[in-house]
Amino acid sequence: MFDVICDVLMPWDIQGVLRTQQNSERTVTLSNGVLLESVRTEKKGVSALFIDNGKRGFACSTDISVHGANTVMHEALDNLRSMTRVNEFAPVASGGRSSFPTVKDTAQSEIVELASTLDTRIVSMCPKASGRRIQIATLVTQKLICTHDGRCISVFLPRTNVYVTLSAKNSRGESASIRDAYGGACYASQLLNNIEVMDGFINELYDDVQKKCEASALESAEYECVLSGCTGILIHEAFGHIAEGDAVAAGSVLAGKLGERIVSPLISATDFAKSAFGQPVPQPLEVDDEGVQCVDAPILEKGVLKGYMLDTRTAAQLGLKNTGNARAATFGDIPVVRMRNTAIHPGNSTLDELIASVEDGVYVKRTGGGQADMTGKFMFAVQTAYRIHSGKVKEPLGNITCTGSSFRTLGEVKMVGNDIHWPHSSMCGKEAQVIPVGMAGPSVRSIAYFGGGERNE
Amino acid sequence: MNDLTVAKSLLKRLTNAGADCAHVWCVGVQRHTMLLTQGVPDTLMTGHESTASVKLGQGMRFIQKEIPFSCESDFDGFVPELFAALKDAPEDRNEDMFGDGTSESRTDIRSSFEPVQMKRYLETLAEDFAASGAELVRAKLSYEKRESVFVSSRGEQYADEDDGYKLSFSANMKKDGRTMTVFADHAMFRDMGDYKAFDAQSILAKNADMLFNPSNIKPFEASLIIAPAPLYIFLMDTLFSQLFDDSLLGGQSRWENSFNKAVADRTFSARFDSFEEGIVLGERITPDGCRSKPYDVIDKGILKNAILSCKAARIKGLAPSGNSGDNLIVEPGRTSLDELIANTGEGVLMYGYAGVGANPDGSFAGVAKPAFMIKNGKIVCALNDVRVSGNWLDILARGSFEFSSRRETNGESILPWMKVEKVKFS
Repeated sequence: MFDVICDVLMPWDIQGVLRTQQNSERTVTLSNGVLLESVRTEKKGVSALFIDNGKRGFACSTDISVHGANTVMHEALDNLRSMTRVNEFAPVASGGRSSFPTVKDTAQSEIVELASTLDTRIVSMCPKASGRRIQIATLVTQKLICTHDGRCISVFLPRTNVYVTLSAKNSRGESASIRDAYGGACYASQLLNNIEVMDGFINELYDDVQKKCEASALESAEYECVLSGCTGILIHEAFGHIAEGDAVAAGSVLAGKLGERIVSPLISATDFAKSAFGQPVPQPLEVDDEGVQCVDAPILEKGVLKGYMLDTRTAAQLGLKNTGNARAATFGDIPVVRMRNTAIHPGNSTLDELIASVEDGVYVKRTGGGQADMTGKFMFAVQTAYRIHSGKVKEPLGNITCTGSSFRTLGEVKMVGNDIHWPHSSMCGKEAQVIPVGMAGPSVRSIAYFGGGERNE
Repeated sequence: MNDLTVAKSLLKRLTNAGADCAHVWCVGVQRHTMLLTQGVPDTLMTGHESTASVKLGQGMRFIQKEIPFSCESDFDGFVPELFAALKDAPEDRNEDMFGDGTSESRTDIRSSFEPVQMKRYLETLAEDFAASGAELVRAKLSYEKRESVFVSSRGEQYADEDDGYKLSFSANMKKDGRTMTVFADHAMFRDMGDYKAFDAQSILAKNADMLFNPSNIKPFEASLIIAPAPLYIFLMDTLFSQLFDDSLLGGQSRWENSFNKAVADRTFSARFDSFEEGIVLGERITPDGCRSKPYDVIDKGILKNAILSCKAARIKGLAPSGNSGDNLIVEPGRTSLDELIANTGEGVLMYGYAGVGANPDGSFAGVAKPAFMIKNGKIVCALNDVRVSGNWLDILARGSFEFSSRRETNGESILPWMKVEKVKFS
């Protein structure tokens, strides 16, 4: 059904794209072994976007047919006309076609079975856990992107995330909990057939939550720290968003600073398109949702600002090369400048060496959500952290918060670890569109402000 | 063909195919959105989305699924697919999963899509900001018309039509070569003429100049006056972390054994109500497929209800919630905002907040921004990166707080300002 759309988009002499997209989501939630939620959702439809001289016309419909595609195409052109007051755009010679990717449906029972099997495994592996919650969320994104110049590109991205929350209580009845995610670019069945790969993840979560029961609050102050497992979110939230073309055009703190040294020379960062450091990235993209070829977007090189992430409009506004960063969450969303797979490049030190180098500080092991503003100020919740005394990991800390300026925290980086992994479960929200992204980074030694964790009395 | 006809037709197909209990609820949304970039309207988007949600029970098996549709023939393959998927579904059926919908119809359409008017509105907004020395960098104005219908095999039927506008924007000011976002807001309203900048925005505008020269502070303890927008983050996180499905089923809630007992001072009353005047495009049908109803969460400090799905409520032996926790309404106090500020010897006025609203243990920590210092009842300067921390369960129980007499609505909640004593800043 999707393939007929290729024939509808007459090649035009202005930039345009006709996109059919299906997002298939499955969510299964178990709380202490009780099945709470088992939901299947499909969002599918067709949209058209035309861009001319900085103006855009967009239309979408759930009607995936020749009629629906024709309708959205003409509505999008009408919308563009009403913004530009230009009367006519001319069709040009016809182009080729491709196929909508055919994928197998995921049986709900597979996901429920994965959740139940994992739940049983957690019960046996974590006898002292006072509570457990498992949520499995799968998202299969299929797209067919047909461009004004006759190209048709099919996109297929499966993803399965397993979110586990473990709770534990101490002898005084005080509880603590930690939530973490395990996932990958795969189907739920692939994880089910290989469930023991999650054992290390579960064991670590269990160990940390038991320690967290005895956690203490942290006096609010700036601390030397080892940020581990969270530099991906740091580069994404605190630096990536202000390097997005629309933010730069709106006057972000990075505007006009290309070529300037802005953070530590130990820091390099790139928004990768298809692969990074010789490995595939979580969201490999050939073309973006404007039909533009995706290329790696170097952001920082040895501390110097090298570039921004751009779509058609912002590339034109800033006079720079389009990097193919226009992404839309569903068929009904207009593409906006988004990150794809953003990472700080790894260094040479081991995590042990980083910790051993800190006399008095904080070791951040696992974070929750975070946010940043256009000036580079960031905040993220810390789920698992420990004090460091004399180069050794010591007492656990409660639900503290890490805040600071990305310029200062990345500017004060003294050591960069050789560890890097892509969590595969990262999501990013912008302008009410939530999309999967990749974010990664090595452990770093730096400084940041920490506070909070007050228990209720 | 309207969505009610579609819903009835799909229900008939399901029952004919052997379902012994089914719900169908359809939501159709027409949306027209105009975007403005750096002062100029530049993008127009139109779209129509109809989605049917189905709950189906056969024997002890149960399944819930959504499907977008444009015409009845879209269900041709869906119905057999659904029954095939039902065979794989867990044996998890319970009658309370099938809601308690009441037959009723309601139409409340007050406006229509007018692109010229929308464009003029955005241009006027840009001119207003320009007059105050700011640039409207981004704005998004949508007109949305929604039709929600619900039918069940038990004969229940519910239909609702409403509409409204959604606006979000950010505006920058420049001074001495520096750019700062000093206005940012989002709101929903029934008519374009209804939108008024909140008190928070107007006070911010009056003191915007101070934001370019913020002062640093040393750790101290003082009063905190919270604007409705950050208060929403704090209260929603607190209520959800104590009263939602997971926290109650998982044994994490500190309020698990506090129903019908005091958890807060008697001046605190909070409820969810999607039908309250001032709420725009509120929830009409819950994710459980029930008709939304108003309900109290805390009444004069007494914990009344949790925020539970039908199934979680059954497991906990509590009443299911009237809605899924949309549209928070908090009762006002007796003191005006001006008096709250004037009565403050030393304190911080918080307009925005980046941080954790409340952890499961009630703790919170984050950055107040924009924020101003109050001394002797007057705003004296803006503050740079003021960190605030504490514990919401303690604050509510301690009762050392006060609400303003006037409330503000952004179309999705109705909240007063809140003044809290003895908060830690650093």
